[in-house]
Amino acid sequence: MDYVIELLNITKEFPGIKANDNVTLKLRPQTIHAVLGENGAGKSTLMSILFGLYQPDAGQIRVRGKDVKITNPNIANDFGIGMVHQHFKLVEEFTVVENIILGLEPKNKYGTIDIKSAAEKVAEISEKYGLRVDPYAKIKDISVGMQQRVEILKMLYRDAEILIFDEPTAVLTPQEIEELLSIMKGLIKKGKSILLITHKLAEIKQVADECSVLQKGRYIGTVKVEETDERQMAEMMVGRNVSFHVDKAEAKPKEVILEVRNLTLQGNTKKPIINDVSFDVHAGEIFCVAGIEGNGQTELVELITGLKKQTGGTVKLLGSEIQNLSIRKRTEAGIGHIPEDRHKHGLVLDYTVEQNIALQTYYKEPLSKYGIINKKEVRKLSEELIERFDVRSGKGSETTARSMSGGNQQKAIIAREVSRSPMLLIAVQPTRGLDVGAIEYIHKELISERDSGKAVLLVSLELDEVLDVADRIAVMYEGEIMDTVLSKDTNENELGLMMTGSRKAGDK
Amino acid sequence: MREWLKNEKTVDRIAPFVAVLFGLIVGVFLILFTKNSPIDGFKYLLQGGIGLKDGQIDNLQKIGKLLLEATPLILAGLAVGFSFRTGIFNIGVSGQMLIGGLAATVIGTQFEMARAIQVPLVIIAAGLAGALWAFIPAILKAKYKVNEVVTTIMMNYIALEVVAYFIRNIIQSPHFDTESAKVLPSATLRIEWLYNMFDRANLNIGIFISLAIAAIYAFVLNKTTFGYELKAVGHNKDASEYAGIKVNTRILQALMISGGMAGLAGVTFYLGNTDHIAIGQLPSYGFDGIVIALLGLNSAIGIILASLLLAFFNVGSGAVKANLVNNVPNQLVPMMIAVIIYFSATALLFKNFIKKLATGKKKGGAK
Repeated sequence: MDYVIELLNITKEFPGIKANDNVTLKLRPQTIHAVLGENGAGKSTLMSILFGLYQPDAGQIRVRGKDVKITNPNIANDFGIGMVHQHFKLVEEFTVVENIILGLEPKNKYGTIDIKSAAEKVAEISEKYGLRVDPYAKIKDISVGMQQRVEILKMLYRDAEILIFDEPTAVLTPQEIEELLSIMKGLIKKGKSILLITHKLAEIKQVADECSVLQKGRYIGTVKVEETDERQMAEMMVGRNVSFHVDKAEAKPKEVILEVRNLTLQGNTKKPIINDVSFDVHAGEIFCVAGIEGNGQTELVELITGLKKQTGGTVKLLGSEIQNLSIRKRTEAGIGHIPEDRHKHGLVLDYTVEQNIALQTYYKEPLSKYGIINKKEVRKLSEELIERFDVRSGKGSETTARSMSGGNQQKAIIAREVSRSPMLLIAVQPTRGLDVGAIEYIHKELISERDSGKAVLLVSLELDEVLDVADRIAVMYEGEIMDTVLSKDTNENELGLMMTGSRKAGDK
Repeated sequence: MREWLKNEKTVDRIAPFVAVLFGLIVGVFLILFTKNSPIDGFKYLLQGGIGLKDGQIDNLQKIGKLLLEATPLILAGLAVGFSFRTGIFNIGVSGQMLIGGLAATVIGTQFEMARAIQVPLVIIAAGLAGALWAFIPAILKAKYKVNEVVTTIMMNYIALEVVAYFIRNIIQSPHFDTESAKVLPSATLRIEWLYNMFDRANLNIGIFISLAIAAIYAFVLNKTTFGYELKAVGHNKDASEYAGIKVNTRILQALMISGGMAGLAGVTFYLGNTDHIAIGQLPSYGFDGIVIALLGLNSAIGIILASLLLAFFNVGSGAVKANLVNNVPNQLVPMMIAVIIYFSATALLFKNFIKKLATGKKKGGAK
C-alpha cells in the first residue's frame, strides 16, 4: 500500500468560482502531509470533499487503494477518517469524556450510560499518545490547547486512522503549538497518517514530510519538505517572490507622541488586570507590546482608545491628557486604531465597504453637512481609498463587508484608519489569520507610517512579527511590563523568557 | 432571469411577494374545503376590500375604509420597523398606542379650543405620550441592559390599567361605564371633505400623518448621519462604540422615537377611526405592526404596502363571509393572513428556495 488516501484530479465548481481545479493529493501512510495555500485557495473545499460534505464534479477518491464514494461524513468515519475542525465542536458544560462519547454512548446492562468504562478507555488512549487529558474535567474549565486535544481524542476514540487537522495552531500559544506538533509526530509513530491544513510555513518545515500547494483552486505541486525551504514554499503558494524579512531603515525616533504613566485597571480579581504600566511612544518609531495572549495587552489598548475606563494613571497624547475624554474626542485628537477583532470592533459587517470607510468621519464635512450624508462624497472617498489601498471585492464600494475575505476586510480598516493620518496608529494583531501576501502588505504599511513621522503602537503575539517590524519591544506579563528592549539587541529566546514572567537578567 | 435572481437584494425583495402568493394559494384550498368556489371567494374579497363589483368601482367608500384601516397599521408598522432597524424589539407598540390615544382623548374631551390649535395639540400630545411611555423600557435597556422584549410587553398591561383609571375617574362617558366620553368636534381628526369624498367612511387626516411619517422615516434612516448611527448600532454595538457613537443614547432615542410613532398611531385610531377610548381593549395594531414590519422588510414603502394588504384583508373579509353560498367560518380570512404571516416569518426558507431556482439544481454554497 503506497498511499492511504488518494484524491485524484478533483474538480469542484461553485457558482462563479472553481474552488478546486484538477487537484491531486496523495497521503502516504504514517506521514504528515501538509496542504498549503492562501485564504480562499481551496484547501477547505478539498477537505470537505474528502470528509463527504461536498461531492466533487470530477475526479476520484481512493482510500487504501480502493475507489470509494464518500457521500456524507459518516461514511468518512467508517473509512477511519477524522477531522479536527478549526472551531471546536464541544459542549462547554460537559466533561471531556461526555464530549468524547457523544453520539456513541456505551451502555451498561441497565441501559444507562457507562461513563466509567468510557473514561477508562479515554484515559488509556490519552496515555498512549501522550495527551495528558483529565477525562472528568469540564470543557469550560480547560485551556484552548486542552480542548483541541479533546477533539483529537474524539477521533482516536472512534478509531480514526487518518486525521485531518484544519489550521490547528491558529488558536494556540507558542508553547501549545510546540506541544501539539510533538503530539502529531507521536501520532504518526503509532501508525496514524495526518493531513495538515495550514498557511504557516514554519510549522510545515518542522513536522511535515510532504507538502502540497494550492493556489486559487489550482494544484501547484507537491514537494518533499526536507528538500525545500520556506521561501520556495511561499513562492509556490503566492505565485511570486515574497520577502520574509521586512526591509526597513533604522528608526529615527523624535518627540514623544504617547505618554502612558502608572496606568492601572483593577478588575474583579485581587490582582489588577493592568498594573502600573508606564511607557512612551515616539514619533517615527514602531513600539511593540509583546506577550502571550491574555496578559493585559487587549485591555491596555482599550484604556488608551477609551473603550474601557482606567482605575488610575494618565495617558497623554501630544502632551495633553486624554484618559478622561470620550472615544470620539480621542479619535479626533489623533488616534487611529486597527482593532484586535475586526468583526467585533473594526467593521459593521452588514454595512457596505463605503459605509465602513466612512465609520470614523461620516459626521464631518465633506461626508455630511447639517446631519445629512452626502453619498457622492462618501463614494468618492471610498473609491479613492479602494484604489490606494488595493481593497479587492466583488462589487467595489457597494460590497457588503461580510462577503469580503479577511485580508481585504483588514485592508479596508487600515485604509480608513491610516488615511485620516493620525499621529498615533494603534494596531492590535493586525495580521492575525491573514496569508503571507496580506501580512507583507500590512507590515509595509505600518513601516511607511513610521517613516512618515507617525508613532505606531503595535500589539502582537507573533514573535517573528515582533522582531521583524518593531523598533522597541515591551513585553507584558500578567498586566505588567517586564522590560523594554530594542529589537536589534534581543532575540526570540530572551523575549520568550520574558513572556513567561522572568525579567531580563541583571536588569532588576 | 437567473442572473437577476442571483442578486441578494432582489431575492430579499421578492420573498414577501412569494409569501403572499403562498398565502393566497392556501386560501384557495381553504375555500375549496368549505365547498365554495375560490373564484367567488376572491371576487367577494375584492368587492369587500376595494368595492370592485362587476369590474368597476362605483363608490369610494370601501377604498376609504381600507385607507382608514391602513392608517394606524402604517404607523404601528413604522414604529416596529424603526426599532428593528436599530436592533431593538419594541413589542410594546400597543401599549404606547393606548397611552398616546389616552393623552389625546383627555385633551380632546376635557378642553375646548379653536380647532386649528386643538388638532395639532392632540397629535403632538399623543406622540410625546407614546415616547414617554417607551422611555421606561428605553432607559432600562440603555442603562441597565434589561431585555426590552419583556419590559415593553409588560408596559402594555400597565397601559391598560392606566387607561381604565383615567376612564373611571376623569374622562368617563355619561352613558357607558367602560368608555370615555366622545371626543369633541374641535379635536377630532375627521374632516368634512374627506368624509364626503369617500362616501361617509371615517377617513381622516391620520392617513396624511402616516404617509408623512413614512417619508420622514425613510429620509432619517437613509440620508442622515443620525440614521447612519442608529443602523450601525443596530448592526454592531461594539463597532459603533469603537467609532465613537454614543450607543446608549442612540438606543434610548430609537426606542422613544418608536414609541412616539406608536403614540401617533393611537391618536389616528382613537380620534379618527373611532371617537372614544375603552377599558380593557389592547389594540391589536401593535402586534400587526410586527407582521407588517417583517413583511415590509422594515422599509417605508414596504411597510405602506404591507399595511394596505393587511387592511385589504381585514376590510374585505366580511364580504367573503356574507356572500359565499355555503357557510364559511369567520376565521377564513384571518387564517389566510396567518398563513401569509407564517410564510413571511420563515422568509429565509423562501430566500433559499428562490436562490435554488436561480442557481439551478446544483447545491449551492461557495467557499
